[in-house]
Amino acid sequence: MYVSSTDSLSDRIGVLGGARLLYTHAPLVGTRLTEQWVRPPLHLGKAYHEDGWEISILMSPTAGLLDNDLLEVEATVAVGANAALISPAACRVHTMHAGCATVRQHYTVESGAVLDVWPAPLILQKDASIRQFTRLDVAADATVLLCELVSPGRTAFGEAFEFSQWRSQLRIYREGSLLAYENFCCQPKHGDVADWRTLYPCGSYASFYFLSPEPLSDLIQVIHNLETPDALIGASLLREGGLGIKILALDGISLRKTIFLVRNLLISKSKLNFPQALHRAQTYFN
Amino acid sequence: MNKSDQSAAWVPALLQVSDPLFPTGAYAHSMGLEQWAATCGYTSGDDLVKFFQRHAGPALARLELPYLRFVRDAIVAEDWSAVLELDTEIDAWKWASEIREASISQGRGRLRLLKKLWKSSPEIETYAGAFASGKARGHHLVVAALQFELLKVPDEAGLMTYGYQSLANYVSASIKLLRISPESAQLALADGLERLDGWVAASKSVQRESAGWFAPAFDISSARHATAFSRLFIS
Amino acid sequence: MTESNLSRPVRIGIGGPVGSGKTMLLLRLIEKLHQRYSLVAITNDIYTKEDEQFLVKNSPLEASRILGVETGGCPHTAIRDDTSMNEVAIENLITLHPDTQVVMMESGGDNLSATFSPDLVDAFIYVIDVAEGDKIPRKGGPAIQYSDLMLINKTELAPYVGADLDVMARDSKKQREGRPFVFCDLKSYKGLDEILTWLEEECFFSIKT
Repeated sequence: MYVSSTDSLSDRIGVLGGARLLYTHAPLVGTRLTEQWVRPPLHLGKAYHEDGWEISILMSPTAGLLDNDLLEVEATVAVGANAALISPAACRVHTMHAGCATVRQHYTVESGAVLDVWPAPLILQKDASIRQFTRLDVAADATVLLCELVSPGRTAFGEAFEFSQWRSQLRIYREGSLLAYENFCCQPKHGDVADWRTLYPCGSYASFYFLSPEPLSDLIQVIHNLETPDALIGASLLREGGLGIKILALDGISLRKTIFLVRNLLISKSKLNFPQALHRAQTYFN
Repeated sequence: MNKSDQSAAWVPALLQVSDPLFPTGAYAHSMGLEQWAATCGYTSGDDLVKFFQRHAGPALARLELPYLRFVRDAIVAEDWSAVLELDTEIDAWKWASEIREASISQGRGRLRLLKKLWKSSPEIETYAGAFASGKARGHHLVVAALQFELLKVPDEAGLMTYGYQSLANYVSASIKLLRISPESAQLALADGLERLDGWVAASKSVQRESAGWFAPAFDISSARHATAFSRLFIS
Repeated sequence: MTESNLSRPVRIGIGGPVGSGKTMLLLRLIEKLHQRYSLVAITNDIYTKEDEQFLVKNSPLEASRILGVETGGCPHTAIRDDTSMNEVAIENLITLHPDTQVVMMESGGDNLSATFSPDLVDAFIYVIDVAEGDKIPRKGGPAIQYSDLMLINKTELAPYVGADLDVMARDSKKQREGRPFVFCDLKSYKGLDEILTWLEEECFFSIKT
């Protein structure tokens, strides 16, 4: 009954996309992407620069992910640098008869640095199978906004929770200590995510991790006050230096609205100047 | 992990440490049920059965019981750094802070008393020392594994006992929360216990890299309990 | 006190029904004793930490010496049947303040049968008040009968609520069989000296100041 994975073999030769990015800070110049290596089908768009930030637009492969595809993203934000990684287009995980797509992400945020990871949703289409591995290493005085959005299918067409499996592993280390760990294999056909489906049969999901040196306990009630009948929201303090936020929403529109409100709150709490260009870059939310 | 033997000498001590009277502070926690029951409008024993089938049972099978086994294996191997690593990992996957702190509170309460009951146990001393120095988190699951191993409880009986305690704790809370009769609560528990064997069996094949459980709505509800206007339980 | 208890701070439990004046007693004791002894205070509340916040705001004790324990729906369990949460709270406070000489612990408001575990506290003060009705002492129960000291609080209200203090005194004597009780009005400090004398003589005698 509890199968940890239904990975099956596929003959398809997958594409291996990747990006390795290093953001550094220089006095008078601000943050610049000083090292980059990008392998298609990933594509790095023209950067925005504003208020000492570098905003990178990392495009998803236009066709989305198919079996045996592998995307690897490694980004380091060096001491004092401010960077944002935006994916403005939804990433579709397509129907697969066998095999599995894999996404690996590793973010390192050094002392005094800021990283904002703000993607468009991952859409888990019928019979799609995906494995995600995300690791975040963060310094105690760094600020990170790590966001993930998931749609359980092409809900506008009535497709929801028909994907084959969604495996996800997330590890967040603060000063080398494990602070948050998520690990699951979600297979709707085996009855998983009954709680999500019962509340919102076509609902979308978002997860935030906000790491900050600022005291955050007073944010919990404020975030909970954002709940509406169309969006359930829960926030909880991590062991130290951060909080996690989970949102389940009736549909993609409700999710976007709620994420927007939550981001504004977190940005205001961070006491940092997040550039206006972020909103121009993240067109999915406009 | 030790092999099951024919002796039942471990039974009385296991009953003692598993008894609701064993003071670990469990009575004050619903482990997420309070807010979840309010969110879902639970009112009956049937709702509790549904909760066991959809949430408590799968969470045991895919997350709690596998970790109980991992910790016990590490204790048997006398690999204390692995025990502490698992303790940290448990701390990190308990996303809602109230659930995390409830687990530590109960673990600490159990450890405190075990230290008094089993004064000569070097394993208890080692773990209590690690807790006192801040190297161990003190999660209930870790202390339970330690206790099962020291009592030489056969592997499966340890998993069953832990499962029983988890379900029984929900049942105990449900009498206050759902205002169901003690008889209805026991019927729900009986249903859960009939399924426990299956959850325990399923847990045995779960490896470390795949141990985990995803219940976002339950997590959200557990987090919201911290700011609930009125509540009967600490978690 | 047992031998093993000699090295630990003296622990005083304060119990009683909801609204009888437990928090007020704790406040008054802190006011009078905090300069003489190294004190810590623990409050038990069912759903909130309101009593803790009240003491932090109103008492002269520094905030780090006051700790609220949220007991959930069973305040009597937390002081009698399963005292683990309160034991941990004491450990935490003593770790923070190793010089602690006296632990004052207020239970959550509860019924007449709620008593402290003898392992948790060395002495137990039970607080009732005249507004609950002058029949309360007559009803008896383990707290009224066996607490180390019983207080009958809010005596100033007696004429307004029709409570006969003579009846309360008569019934208290009968139920407590020689154990002490004190009429007091803690809001106006009446009877407080008598309570302090009892504490000094019966509970704090072993403390070196």
